[in-house]
Amino acid sequence: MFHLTEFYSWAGQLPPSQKACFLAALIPLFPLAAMVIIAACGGKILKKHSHVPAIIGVAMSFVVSLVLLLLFSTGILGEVMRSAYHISFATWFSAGALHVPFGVYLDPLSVLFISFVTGISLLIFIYSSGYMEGDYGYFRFFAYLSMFVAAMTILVLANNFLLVYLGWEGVGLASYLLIGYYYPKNSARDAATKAFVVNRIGDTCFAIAIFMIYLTFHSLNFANVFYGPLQSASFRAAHASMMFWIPLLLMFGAFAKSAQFPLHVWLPDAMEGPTPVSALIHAATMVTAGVYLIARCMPIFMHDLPVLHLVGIIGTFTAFMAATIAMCQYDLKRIWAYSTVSQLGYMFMGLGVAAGSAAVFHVFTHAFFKALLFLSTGSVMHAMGGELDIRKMSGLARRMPITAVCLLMGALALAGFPGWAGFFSKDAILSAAMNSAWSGGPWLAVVGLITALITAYYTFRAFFRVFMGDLVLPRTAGLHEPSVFTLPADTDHERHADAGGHDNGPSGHDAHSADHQGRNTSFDGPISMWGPLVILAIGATTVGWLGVWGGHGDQGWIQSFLSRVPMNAGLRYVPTPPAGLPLPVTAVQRLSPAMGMTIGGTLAVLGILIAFYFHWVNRHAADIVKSALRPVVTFLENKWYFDEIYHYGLVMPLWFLGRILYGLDHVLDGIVVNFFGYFPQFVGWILKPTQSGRLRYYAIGMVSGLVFVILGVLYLLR
Amino acid sequence: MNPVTTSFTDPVLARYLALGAVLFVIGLVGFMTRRNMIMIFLSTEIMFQGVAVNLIALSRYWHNADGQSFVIFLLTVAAAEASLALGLVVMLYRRRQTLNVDMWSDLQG
Repeated sequence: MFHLTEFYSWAGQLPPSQKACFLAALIPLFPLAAMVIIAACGGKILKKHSHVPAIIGVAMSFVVSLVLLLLFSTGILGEVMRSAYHISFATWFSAGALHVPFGVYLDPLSVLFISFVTGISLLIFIYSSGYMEGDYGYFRFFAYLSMFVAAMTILVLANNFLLVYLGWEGVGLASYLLIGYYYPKNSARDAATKAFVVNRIGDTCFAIAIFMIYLTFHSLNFANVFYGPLQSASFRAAHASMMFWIPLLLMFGAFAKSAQFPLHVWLPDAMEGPTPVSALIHAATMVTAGVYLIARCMPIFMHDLPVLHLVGIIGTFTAFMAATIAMCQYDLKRIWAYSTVSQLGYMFMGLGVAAGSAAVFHVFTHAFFKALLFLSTGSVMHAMGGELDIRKMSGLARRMPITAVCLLMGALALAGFPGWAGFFSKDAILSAAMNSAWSGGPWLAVVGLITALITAYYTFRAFFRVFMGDLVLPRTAGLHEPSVFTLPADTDHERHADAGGHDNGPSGHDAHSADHQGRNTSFDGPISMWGPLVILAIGATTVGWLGVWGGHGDQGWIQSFLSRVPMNAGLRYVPTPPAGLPLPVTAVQRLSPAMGMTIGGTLAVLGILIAFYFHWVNRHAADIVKSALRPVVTFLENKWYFDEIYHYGLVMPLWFLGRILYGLDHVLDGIVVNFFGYFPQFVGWILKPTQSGRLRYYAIGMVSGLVFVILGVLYLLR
Repeated sequence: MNPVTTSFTDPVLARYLALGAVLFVIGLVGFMTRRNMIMIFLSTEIMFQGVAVNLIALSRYWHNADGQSFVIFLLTVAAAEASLALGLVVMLYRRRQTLNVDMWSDLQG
């Protein structure tokens, strides 16, 4: 029997670090409980209050995360927690020598991740309660969202690879369900399938990597893998091929989840889900998982520099490629989607030059400004009746001032404008690349700087097009986004009556009457929508300063907070667990930080100025340039033809193979399978006459059988 | 000489066993050839009695009362079974107004 008092006295004797681990174990449980509650009583009892358990759940997780952040950043319990603490609560399953526990791994990396994951998710949940109001399947949406966050927190907090894999698959499933949330739409279903299939490629690689880790280290716990025999050079030499394949496969797993070339194709299509889902995927829960995985496994990567450099090269290439594609897209969400791919490329560039702190810093700032950009875009979409084509709208700043200012803050952060969040984190990555001991690092930095210029340009191209210039509203402006769910008339009416402050009948209003309404009720939407935007805007504006202020010496708070996590070049010493973690990567000094910031800031301002001229002052000039560069623009508008290449290079051959195997299957069916069907029929046809229904024949059968047996016995006893 | 050979070569016992075998075969042939349900039933009773004769004869031969007491039970069971079987025959007769067993051949392949 369980005695609470005994538990308290036992828990009271634990050191603070273990108390923190117990606390951390609560974090996934809150959203998980919310998911169960919403799934169980959302449809019948909660209905349009389904967001309440979800928001409470993630808010409680956020509070716990903040407590952990306090524990790790201040000496509030008398002990500044800076190292890694891990604890296993229970055995998930055992098979032979393999014991997989439920356990928590706490170090500054996981604490920082868990804080912004739950924090950003909380804001997105609040926003969703306004954005999705009255939508069919409201409770389903919040159940999925809670599951998404629960899976992500499991992924981040797990203390062994298999538990990470559980969370990894959980976010994959949740993203599939949410991208396909509007399942009556073909495009939504296709996008969900695409995301799932592309992710499976990475998941398979990750799974094989886990098998190899177990074969090599005979354990899946982080502590045993990273701080065990990995540290001995003779062990690494004995397992040289494993030490190559494990990081390589982990890399592919991370690349699928974090949408890097060549597995990036699913992310831009993932915007088929509702906009808050895009925000969640792009900012907090999904794509950051790949970065987390590589940052977490940095001790392995650091012992195989070619693979680490490959991470950097592919990341840089992806950053450049996605940025060029984003220049020539017209769908606002698609632009932000490619910008996410591009920014993730930066993060992998940072990891590739062994600047884990810089990469994680960029994840952190990116979470703020990308959530902000997507949610602001959601507000635009909400107000414009589902229209997102930047060619069809202009000058919206007059109509939705709050949204415009918020989106401007996000755009400044994404563009890396001096002072805003993206500026500091991007600069940290680029200067780390520039100062990398690896000779390829500066080249990556140069490509990264070019990409920074492109980034500033495409970000403000979208902003100036949509919010500046003459007022142009699409025809659908002011209407509620048409529902894809066809429902009986009564529920349909109910849905429209609640739709976000714009009470439009099913007949719809034209732009003029929406215009008339717009004077009274701005397009900004209810406070549950613009409130989170304002908070995120403040975050996107300010969190960058954590990279330069607040740390020890000349370091920023982030750098000193993450300094004990073994993922940075030049780090030589980690106190616990076991002392001494030599990492073979060093740093050199090629460029002073001030110089790097100057160059990065200049490029950002330059990009903004180009966008300012072509997309606000003189939009006609943009058309002239566009027609002059027609082939390039077509190439970029078609996203480097990746979808086509995959379609004709992979999907079609597989489809043909499928047809061939289908035909082969028919042959097998006709001969082998049908034989097993016909043979018993044939036997039955032969034996059928014996069952005549005549009693006498049965009697004769019995007697002859008896005679046969007796004769047989007599023969044997002769 | 083993007892099995002895018992079958004993002249007195052999006659009783032969009587039992004859009764059994008469019942068997009747069971296989008759169509009337009551006659079929009687044939099974005759086979029964053939077995009972065998039991008594062997019991007497071995000076062992088991076989004879067993026959008492056997006859009791046979009586119970007879009442049941005749009841069934009456039920069947009421359905089809005939005792011909060949009229009841619905269950066939």
